[in-house]
Amino acid sequence: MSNDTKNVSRRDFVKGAATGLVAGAFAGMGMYSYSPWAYERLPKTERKMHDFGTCRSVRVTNISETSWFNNAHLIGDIHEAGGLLVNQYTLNWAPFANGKGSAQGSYDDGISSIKDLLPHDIEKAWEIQKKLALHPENPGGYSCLIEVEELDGTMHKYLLDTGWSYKWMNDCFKREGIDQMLRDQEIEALFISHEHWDHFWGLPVTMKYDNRIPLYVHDGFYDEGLQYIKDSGYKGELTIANKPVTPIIPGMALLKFDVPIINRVFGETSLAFNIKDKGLVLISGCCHQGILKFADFAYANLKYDNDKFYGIYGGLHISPFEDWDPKYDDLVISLGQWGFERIGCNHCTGHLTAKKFIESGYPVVRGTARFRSASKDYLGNGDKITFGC
Amino acid sequence: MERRAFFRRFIPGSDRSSAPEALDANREVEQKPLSENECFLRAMAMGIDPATVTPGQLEALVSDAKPSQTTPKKEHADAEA
Repeated sequence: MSNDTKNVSRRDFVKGAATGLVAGAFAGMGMYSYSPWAYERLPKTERKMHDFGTCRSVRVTNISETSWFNNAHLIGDIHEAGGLLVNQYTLNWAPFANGKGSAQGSYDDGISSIKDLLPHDIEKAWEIQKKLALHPENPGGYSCLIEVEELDGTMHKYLLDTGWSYKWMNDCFKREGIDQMLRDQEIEALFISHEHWDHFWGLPVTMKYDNRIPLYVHDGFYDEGLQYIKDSGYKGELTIANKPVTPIIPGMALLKFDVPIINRVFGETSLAFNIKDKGLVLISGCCHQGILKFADFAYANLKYDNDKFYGIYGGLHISPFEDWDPKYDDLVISLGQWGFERIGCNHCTGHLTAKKFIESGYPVVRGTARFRSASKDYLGNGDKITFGC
Repeated sequence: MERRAFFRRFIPGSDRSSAPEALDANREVEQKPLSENECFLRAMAMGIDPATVTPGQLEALVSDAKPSQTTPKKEHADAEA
């Protein structure tokens, strides 16, 4: 051993000890933060365990997930009009267009040009509006058919959303036989997830075939939306969802989220199902509440078999415009931590997100890329997914 | 120069009015946590779709932004308060 090491000065000794103590303290804090003791100190979620019953299975048919066909046109129109806080009814999109250009549209102008034709002559109404609207070929729509089997085998059919373009949605309804189901009054209710153009503005298409179908909307609907329900020719029983959890049938409930949404919309409703011996299935239109809030709310409020998240379907709103920001990775990782066994995503989830899910090994149910759906990475138009037996 | 006056020169914003009530009121407004609705609206005013970020990221993104001019529907804003 050299004399140098023997003759450590007091100053160097103190410096070394202090450095060691500081480094040790940081290391200790880091290790503690990952320990069970640290997690025990976090506030526990108080679970209400609302028992909304049990059903045997749920089958979803994707009528249309392609809400629009050109991202650049959609985003460009919104930006040109003034951004994400602009009232959607002023964007000058069909069916509320007036030919006056960006941000100059109005509900009253638009509806006055077609009101007399609704709901029976939706083809002519759409043709009139196409001549007045910005990017008239861009609208598509979001809608799905949900078939629920009760424990005793009784079947129930519901629609979630009714799309946007009258022409596109009418064609999609015919392709999946929805028009006839509506005529035969086989579909027991239409749930509108939120007031946005691509989920709600196609309402006259449903009204054309059954204008008395029970209809559920969020209590945050604006006056224009409520008036549109009347102007579309609706003669049935409107339910304004105003409770956090509304049971529909055993094993099925409507969940309400009060959040501001882009382009002056307020609130989204989503659906929850408790599948016997499997667990919870969540179905969303666009999930503007955010997937984490959606999952957190279900965990905190609902009772479900095996206390397990079993499946999810619909728009999960991560990369709706097919851009990618590293921040989105956190949502992808967080979704994985809930442990869903079947993920049937599409629409505003984004193809990029679906690819990330697949790369992460998540159980994504692939699609067939038919009827203008862009890739097989997620469930496209005409594809089906079943949860339960 | 007094010691206090000397050090005050190094504190940002110390040249503003020193009325204690006004300063306390400002501080209270600044420190009041944003409601979820306000966070969402501020994000949209910044061009961010709030559903595409985690709640923690949202709070961090909007914490320095100015309040938006658009308010949520009155009844919901009241309920939130």
